[in-house]
Amino acid sequence: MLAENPSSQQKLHLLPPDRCRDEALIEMRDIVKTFKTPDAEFTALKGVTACFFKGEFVSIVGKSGSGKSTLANMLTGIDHPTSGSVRVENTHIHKLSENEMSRWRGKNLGIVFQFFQLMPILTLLENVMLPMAFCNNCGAVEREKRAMMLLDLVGLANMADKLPAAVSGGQQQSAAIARALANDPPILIADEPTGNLDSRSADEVFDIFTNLVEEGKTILMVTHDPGLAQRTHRTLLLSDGELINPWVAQALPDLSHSHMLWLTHRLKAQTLPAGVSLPAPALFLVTAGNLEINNHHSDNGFGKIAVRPGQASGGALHRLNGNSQPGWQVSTGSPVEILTLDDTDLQSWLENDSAVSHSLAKDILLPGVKVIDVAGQEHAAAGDNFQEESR
Amino acid sequence: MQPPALPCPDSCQGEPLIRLRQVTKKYRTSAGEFTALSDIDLDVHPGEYLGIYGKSGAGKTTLINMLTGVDHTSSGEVWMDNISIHRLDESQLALWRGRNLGIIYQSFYLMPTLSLLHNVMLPMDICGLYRRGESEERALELLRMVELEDHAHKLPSAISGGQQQRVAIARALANDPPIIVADEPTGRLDSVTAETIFQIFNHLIQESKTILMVTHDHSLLERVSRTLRLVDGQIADPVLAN
Amino acid sequence: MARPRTQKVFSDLWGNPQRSLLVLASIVVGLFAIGVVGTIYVIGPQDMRVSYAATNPANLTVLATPFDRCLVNHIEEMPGVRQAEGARTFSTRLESEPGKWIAIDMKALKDPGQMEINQVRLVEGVWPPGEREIVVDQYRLEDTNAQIGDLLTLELPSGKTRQLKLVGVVQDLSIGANGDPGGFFNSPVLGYITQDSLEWLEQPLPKQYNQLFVTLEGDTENPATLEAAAQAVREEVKHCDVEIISMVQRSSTEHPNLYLVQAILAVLVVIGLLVSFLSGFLIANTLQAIMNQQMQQIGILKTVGARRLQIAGIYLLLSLMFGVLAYLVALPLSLLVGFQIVDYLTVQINYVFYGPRVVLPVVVLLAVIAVLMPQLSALLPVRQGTRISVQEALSGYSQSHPPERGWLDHQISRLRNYSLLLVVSLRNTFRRKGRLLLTLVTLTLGGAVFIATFNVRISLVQYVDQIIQYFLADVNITLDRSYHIEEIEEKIEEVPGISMVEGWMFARTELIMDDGSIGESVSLLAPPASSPLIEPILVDGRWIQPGDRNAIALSELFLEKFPDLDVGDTIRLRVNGKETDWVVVGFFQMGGKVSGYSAYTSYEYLSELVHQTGRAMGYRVVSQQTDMTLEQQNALGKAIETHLGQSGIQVIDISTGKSLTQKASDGFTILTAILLFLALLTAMVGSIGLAGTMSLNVMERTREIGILRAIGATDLSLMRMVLVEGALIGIISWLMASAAAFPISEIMSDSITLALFGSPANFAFTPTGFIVWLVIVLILAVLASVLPARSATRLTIREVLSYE
Repeated sequence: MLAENPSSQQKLHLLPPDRCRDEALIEMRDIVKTFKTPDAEFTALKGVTACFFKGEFVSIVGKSGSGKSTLANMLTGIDHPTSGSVRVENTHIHKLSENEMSRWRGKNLGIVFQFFQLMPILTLLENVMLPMAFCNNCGAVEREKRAMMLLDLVGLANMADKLPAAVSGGQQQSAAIARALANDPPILIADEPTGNLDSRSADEVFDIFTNLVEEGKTILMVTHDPGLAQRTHRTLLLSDGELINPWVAQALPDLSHSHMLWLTHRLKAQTLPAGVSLPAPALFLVTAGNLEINNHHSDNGFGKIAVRPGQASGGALHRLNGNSQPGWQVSTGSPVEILTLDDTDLQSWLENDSAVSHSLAKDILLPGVKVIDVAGQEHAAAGDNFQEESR
Repeated sequence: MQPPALPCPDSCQGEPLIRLRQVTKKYRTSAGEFTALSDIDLDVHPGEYLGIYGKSGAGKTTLINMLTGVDHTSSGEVWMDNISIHRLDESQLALWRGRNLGIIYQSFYLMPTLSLLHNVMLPMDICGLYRRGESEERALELLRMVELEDHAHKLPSAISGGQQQRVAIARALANDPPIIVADEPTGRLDSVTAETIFQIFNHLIQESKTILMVTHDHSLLERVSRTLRLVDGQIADPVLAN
Repeated sequence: MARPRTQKVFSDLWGNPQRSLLVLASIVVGLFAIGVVGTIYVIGPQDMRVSYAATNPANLTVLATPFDRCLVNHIEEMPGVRQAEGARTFSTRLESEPGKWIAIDMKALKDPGQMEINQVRLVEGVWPPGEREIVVDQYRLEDTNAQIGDLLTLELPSGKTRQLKLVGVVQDLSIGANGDPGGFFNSPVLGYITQDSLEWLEQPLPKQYNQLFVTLEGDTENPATLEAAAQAVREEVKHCDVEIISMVQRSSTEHPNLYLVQAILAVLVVIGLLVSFLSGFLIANTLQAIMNQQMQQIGILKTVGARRLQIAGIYLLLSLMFGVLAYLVALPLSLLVGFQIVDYLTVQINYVFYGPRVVLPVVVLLAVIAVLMPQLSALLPVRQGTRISVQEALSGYSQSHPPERGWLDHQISRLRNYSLLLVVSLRNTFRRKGRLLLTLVTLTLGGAVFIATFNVRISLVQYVDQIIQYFLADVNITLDRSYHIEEIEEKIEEVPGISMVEGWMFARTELIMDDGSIGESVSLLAPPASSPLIEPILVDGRWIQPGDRNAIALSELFLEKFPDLDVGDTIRLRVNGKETDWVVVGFFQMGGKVSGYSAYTSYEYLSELVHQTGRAMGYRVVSQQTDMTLEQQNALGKAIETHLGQSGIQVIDISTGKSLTQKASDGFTILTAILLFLALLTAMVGSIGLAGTMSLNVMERTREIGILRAIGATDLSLMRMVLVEGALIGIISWLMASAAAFPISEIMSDSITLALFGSPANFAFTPTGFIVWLVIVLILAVLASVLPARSATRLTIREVLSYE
């Protein structure tokens, strides 16, 4: 599973705040959103900070109830944060009134919803023309021509005069995308755009998105489909209103989201200078640089393995393979940045939740056992092998 | 005449409660004919906790609609407790459904202008299995079971989503139906609340109810005793247990 | 504790107050209209008949040459006669303001306190008057500018004046009973004195009567009885050498103005039914929208096992509750207003209102309608609503009929480059064709009736204005006796500003029937043959021409009474006691029944016939100034009278051209007021319909509004879209209402003039109604669309789209 992990293709930035402020197209700071019901308060977002750069294709993933749609709503201005700020280019959109928001949106944002939301009384062509009609100063444009061009882009040129009810779900969604592009907005925000589509239509829609990104648009896509998310540049993971550390998601994908969140809160950042050797932390993830973890007691070539950014390992994890030998060491060549969890935390975590060891065992790298993958490559084992025995 | 029984998965005991034979459903849309389900064969035994899993558009909701009689098959048979419901007329079907099925939806669907107590009493009022005095008592009992009896006179809008779903469960149990059907019951709930819902479901299994749960969330399948995967309107890997 | 199902009905009633009020209003309007009309329909004529009968009215009223008590006694002793009474009537003038004299009819009784027939009802002060005292009828009291205790100055035949003290005001229900229909509205001030005052007032033969009142035994409702009695009385009177000038028969319950009320009621009933019919439409429309909104709830009910009948039962119960509530509001309200109207009309139409009472027919009728109407209107929407499948109901997606693109849609599409938003508004307007149609029907009919009311009024006024065609002179004068025309002409022309003077002759004649019996009284007017002061409106034949001898033109009323009468026929009239033959040359139209049996011939021939060639009592004066106002005519009249008076020539009656039509059109004000009231009701039904439709349209589209917001629509563009939609409906309905107004106006004015005047009016219309309605409907449309749109646009998108 590790070998073919396409998420290694994803860029991971744990971005310094300055870079966010200076260069980011979209910046969200400390977004908190609380909903009041007569009985209680429910906090959907508990302090989310994130930023997005021009030309990125970012997916926002989470289970139902994780707050991902709420987050999208903050970005589109469909809803306002209880506290925190949202900046898009030079506009602080959380400060705009409904009216100003509508106007700003018409020019700067294209929104694609889960349920298409085309006007049922207008043809596809007219639906695509609609945003242009609302935008007063979007430049003089031959509206009908442009709308036809956009429909052509999404492959619907011959359906232009049909009503939404007369075309399939996938086609409606494509038309909705064309509509979102009507005023040539630099940013597109899509909330579960393939949620209601069959797999083939979903793929077609996704292809349109990738093409648009290649042309320089910035697309943020909310989805609960991890498969789709993996094909984007970068994924933000939300769980119960908080962002999961992307390194955690990257290195330990088999953990449940709530576990990932738990780790996100508990991991501490640490820098190891170059050329040191010290006992391996109980559990660690590498975020920059490479290091080696050594198992002195191994007698094959895999007693020493490299752990790279986006991978996890740990001195205390030998327990997972029934091995009671302690004393693994890590050594660094260049400076290394890691996130660590200390032993007591790890112990209580493993004890309280049996599912954790299960998931960890699948993803961590441990020295001492080699495995040959389907391409004939030899690797150090991840916990998979041990599973069979510990059953 | 009874349909033949299918091979029994591990979790089955005795005669099947629910039988689907060669159930097919096609829709005519303006974009052409669309096959939502094709040739579904299924047996569900009493006491089973069945999870029906598939991506959007795989046919889960359509399958549920066939089981609940909310929609009719294009071809094929649906037998519920040896009653061929595909042969019942609308009126009989409605009554049968009210007495034998408890349905729980993702969006709760409580009657917005009725109190929680009245919501739970509604199925009893409609199906006439209980007298007036009895049904009020029984409704309170059910609310007690889902720990909401203190809120009995509130309106649905005054309580949270998780609480509403609990009321929906209480309502589904009103006529003490043997079968519970849940369509994405925790779809709109956060993980903590979802957990409480599943606790209740477990409790219901212990009370010998049969539960069919539809979901697109893979992780929920850990909880059921048997999984059914739907892909593009067909059962993939039939009779696969967890 | 109520069952959940019943509780749902109550919650639905109170849950959405706006919508419930709308439904209630629709039902209440319909019930109210029927209730008011029903109340007036039952009580009006009832009280009129009863109050009239209570005065012991005369079945026969005879105007004759002077006779004495002996004749009265004779008549009373005749078989079939119950009572007989005599009175002395004469006309003179009364000074209402210094220098201003108005006509007054006087009725002198031997002993007013003992008046048996045509009893009067004391309103204020004292009855009967004593010697040299006067009591006046309430209807024209205002014209006298006097109050009880004041002195009224009367003109005597010699020109002197005497003053009588006003001691009382009465209500005389017999006004108009002895003459032509509408006589009540044309009547002058009426004064009552004792016969003892006659001599003091210089009336000749003070001990004699000239009017005889007779009440009969037997079935006085039967015209045969009346006819037989009339004949007998005629004979008896002839025996005593007394000449009958006119005789009128009337049953004991037929109030003189009953015909007018019946005419109005006929129209009211039609409008009332129309309003309730429309309100039925409204209810259907609103209930359908309620069902649509409740779709999800219906789905839920179905999933818990509810059968169609159970669900239908819930909504039928809901509409029943609406009906009951509406009944509780509409019944007292309509009774109240009905009583108010009936009470108000007591003076205008001259009867007594016997006070509020339980009007059982209305109570029962309204109850039946209140229960039935909402249920009937609900049947179709409920049937449709409960049919929906659970799937559709819960998800809100309708799998049935995707809208077809028709010709209209393609036409609308062509606008898209001009204004896409206009396209949206247009499409939205025609989206739900059923609902649009219902809205249009109610709004259009309401508007058409509203516009028609204005047109009807104009028709009536114009019809009455015809009368003035026959009185084109500025001033009409009657002198105390016949004078040489030349002499009078000379004298009058001494007054500055006179252009022309004509001498006219007048005779009261009787029609002699084929069998020799005496028939109707006919007023015969004889202007000079070529007089420019008459512009007759002919319905057949021709007018009098110079050179005509015994030519006569008859009023159209003759055609109604004698259908076989034709141009060229000969009729016999008794003129001044002599029977003469006349040839009918034409028939003219002059206000139908109101002006009664009148005829015109040439002055030349008539004056010769009565040996009064070159002399006349009546004169018509035209001033040099064209188009004089009423005041100017009055001033001229006064000047002439004064001038003549200085020469010892006494004027006993003077009236201006304009004042003649003034009185008649005043009567129509009541009629049009009532019509307008009901027109407003109809319009109100239409407006409620529009308001309901627009707010439902907006409510159903809150989701779409959210989407539009999300793709860049500002408040302004949203409001504009909704406004255009509302205005469109308004304008379309105005166009339809204007078209419908023509036939409706015609029907309404024809039926009213037919009832009042005996002949249909020429159609007339005025742009006023159209313009007023356009303004009203546009304002309504704006309000009806803007208000719901404002609340919809205020919601945040998230609330509207309700994610998570």
